Amino acid sequence: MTDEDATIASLKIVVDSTQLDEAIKKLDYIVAAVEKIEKSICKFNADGMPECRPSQNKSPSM
Amino acid sequence: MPTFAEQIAKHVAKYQRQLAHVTQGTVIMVGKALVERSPVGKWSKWSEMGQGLNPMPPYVAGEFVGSWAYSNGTVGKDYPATIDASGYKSMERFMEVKAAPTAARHFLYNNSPYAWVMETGVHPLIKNWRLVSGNHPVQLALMDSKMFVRTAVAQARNIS
Repeated sequence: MTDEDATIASLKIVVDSTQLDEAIKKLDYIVAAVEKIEKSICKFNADGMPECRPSQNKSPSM
Repeated sequence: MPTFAEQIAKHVAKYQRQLAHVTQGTVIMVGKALVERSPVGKWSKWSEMGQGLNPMPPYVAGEFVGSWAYSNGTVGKDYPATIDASGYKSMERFMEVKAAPTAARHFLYNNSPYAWVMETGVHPLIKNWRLVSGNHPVQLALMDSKMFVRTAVAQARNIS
């Protein structure tokens, strides 16, 4: 460290919340996933009950 | 009636607000502690020896406490150099965290030329130079850091 560095170096505190990034991304993923499910498979009626379309991939035995 | 997706989105938005409060509340509480623990000295009241060893550039009362700043991502290199013994201007800068990303590295910094002297009590250029007892505002603020996080988490739980 030079004399100049010593006099201008930042006195600082770091609050590191970068680990929250993963949690925030997961929350966004949940929202997107539920929207996708609701649009493509199920609707929820006025009573909050799911009304799902039949699956397009029925097994041979059905 | 909101769709299921809308209901989930509403819950998620609440969780995101809560996470944001934990970060912002912690930063602001740490900042407040820094300001409260930053000395506002009057050079005229220094001892004769202290005045004789006055660090360069000369210390201005209220400059150190008024020159705290906030940045996120990387530590700022600016030096606002506000003369504000109340620390209000510094607190205003810490409030910038409210517009910052929740997940980030948040810096509270002071670039006044003698900031390290104020923290350590040791002048880098003058051998055996010391402030009386030293001040250690950063060290003292960090002593309460766990309490700040716990407080911010408790407050966040009340956010709806």
